[in-house]
Amino acid sequence: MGSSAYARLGTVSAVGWRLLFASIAVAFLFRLLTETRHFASASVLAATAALLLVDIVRVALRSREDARISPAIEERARAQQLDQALALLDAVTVALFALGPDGRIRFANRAARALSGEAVRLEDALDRPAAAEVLGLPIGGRRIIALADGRSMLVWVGAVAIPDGGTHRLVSLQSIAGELDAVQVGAWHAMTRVLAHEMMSALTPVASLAESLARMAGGDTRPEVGAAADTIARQSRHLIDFVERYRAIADLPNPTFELLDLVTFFEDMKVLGEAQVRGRGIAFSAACSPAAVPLEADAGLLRQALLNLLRNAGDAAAEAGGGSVHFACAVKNAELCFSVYDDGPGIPPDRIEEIFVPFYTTKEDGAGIGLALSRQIALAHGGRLAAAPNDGRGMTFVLSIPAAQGGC
Amino acid sequence: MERLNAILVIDDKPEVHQAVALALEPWVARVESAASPQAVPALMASTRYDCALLDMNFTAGERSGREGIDALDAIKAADPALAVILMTAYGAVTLAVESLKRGADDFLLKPWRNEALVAAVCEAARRTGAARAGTSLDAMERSAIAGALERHDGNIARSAAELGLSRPALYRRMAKHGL
Repeated sequence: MGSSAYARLGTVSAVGWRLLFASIAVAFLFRLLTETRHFASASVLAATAALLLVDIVRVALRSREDARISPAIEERARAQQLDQALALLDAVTVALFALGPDGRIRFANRAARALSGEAVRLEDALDRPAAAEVLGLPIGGRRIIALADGRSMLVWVGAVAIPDGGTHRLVSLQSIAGELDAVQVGAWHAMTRVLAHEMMSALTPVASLAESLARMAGGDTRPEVGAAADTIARQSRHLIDFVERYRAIADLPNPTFELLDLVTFFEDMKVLGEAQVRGRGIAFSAACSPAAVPLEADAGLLRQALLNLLRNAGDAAAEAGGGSVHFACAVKNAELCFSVYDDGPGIPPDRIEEIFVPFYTTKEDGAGIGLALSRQIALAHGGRLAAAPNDGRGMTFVLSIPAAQGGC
Repeated sequence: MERLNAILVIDDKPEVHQAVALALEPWVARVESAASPQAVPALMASTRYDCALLDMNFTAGERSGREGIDALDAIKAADPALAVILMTAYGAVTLAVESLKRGADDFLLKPWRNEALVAAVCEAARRTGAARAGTSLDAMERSAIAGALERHDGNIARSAAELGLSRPALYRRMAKHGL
């Protein structure tokens, strides 16, 4: 880049020199023509022409020399530019894949390599349904897809023409989990508060009047009146209970983060987990692989979230007739992953997302809020909660939250 | 159970009046209503209520409970003995704590079960009765002691002699009344 700037400077000065030289000659000629004989002016013209000719030849020679040197300089400059561009691509947090016409990964930046590992094809880098969704997108397409681990990604597909004629598909994947979830959760909370308040206000007189009516419907009215009032009273109480439970999830207190010691926290959790399975003929084991890792969390909320998972695992294992529950903690990609494993009957893959929906329950006496609440708590910690079927029997729930700053 | 004389319901919704009146019909002779805290002083001046049921919010869209707290202050200033039950559709803990600190006697969560409403009202009425009976005796004792102390320039022995009490007995009563 530097050398080409110098070359340009040289060209400018050469033109300058020529202009200066020509203008002096013209001025001199003008003076001679107005004063003296033609011989002198002719000789000056000839001299000027000769000098210009020499100059032109010299410039021509030099530009041929330039043409010989510049490919090497340009080559070096291009290599430098490429290095800079690659460094830049590695610096962005968006994962970028360039896919050849055959679908093989031709290029992946650092974020993409973190996502794909050593994968050769996108199908191996992402989970299969997600990859199929990405590959199904047209050029210029944008979509939010959910990965199997619960993360949401904004995907964009572009095309780049490459010199040897083919076209590469450029796929960018941007993790939007945190932002999207925070916005959704915030909106959900606000809406739920208003909704719960309005419903409770409206239900207050309904429930009370129905109870009064049921009491008042005495012998002189038809018996159906009392029964009808009873039904209204019962149904409004049912609705009240429902709103109460809904409020319990929506009114999740803002977490108060404190620095906890993971090992101590895990030991406490282990005791609570054992209590869940005690006396049910279930084998319980626990393992915490990281050493003393600092953990920034709301101890009360996180305990509640994990306790829900442990209780569910206990129920699932018991359903299978005395199975086992395993509780573990590991550090992975600067995240603390708490996993709860059971060998119960498991959940069909197409039902997995449903179990996180509030009030969805498969248990006779379940309220259907445990998992929804646990996921809310994970999100409130900037983390996530995902469920996956085990290879053999049962399910594993993984609650992951970012490790504390300077932690791992 | 003895039937109560009158209670006051302060709520902007007529449906709530209707529901409370019907639910308390067997236990309370009169259930009167005020649609806003502004109407309360006039009603309190004309009727001796056994208790008051007070809503927390009166303006549409308002959910802070501030209006209820202000109304509570006003009622307690007008008649400290009248027991006040706060009703709220929103079980905010901080609000409950503040209102209890400011002299609310009970907290009833909307929607209520009629049994809970009746129990709360009866208990509040009992408190009002006890406070009315107690306040007068206590107040008489307090003013007698304060008067004696003033007449004797704070001399305990002479004040006790005037009141016909032993000195330790006077000390105990002074401590009780914060004198």
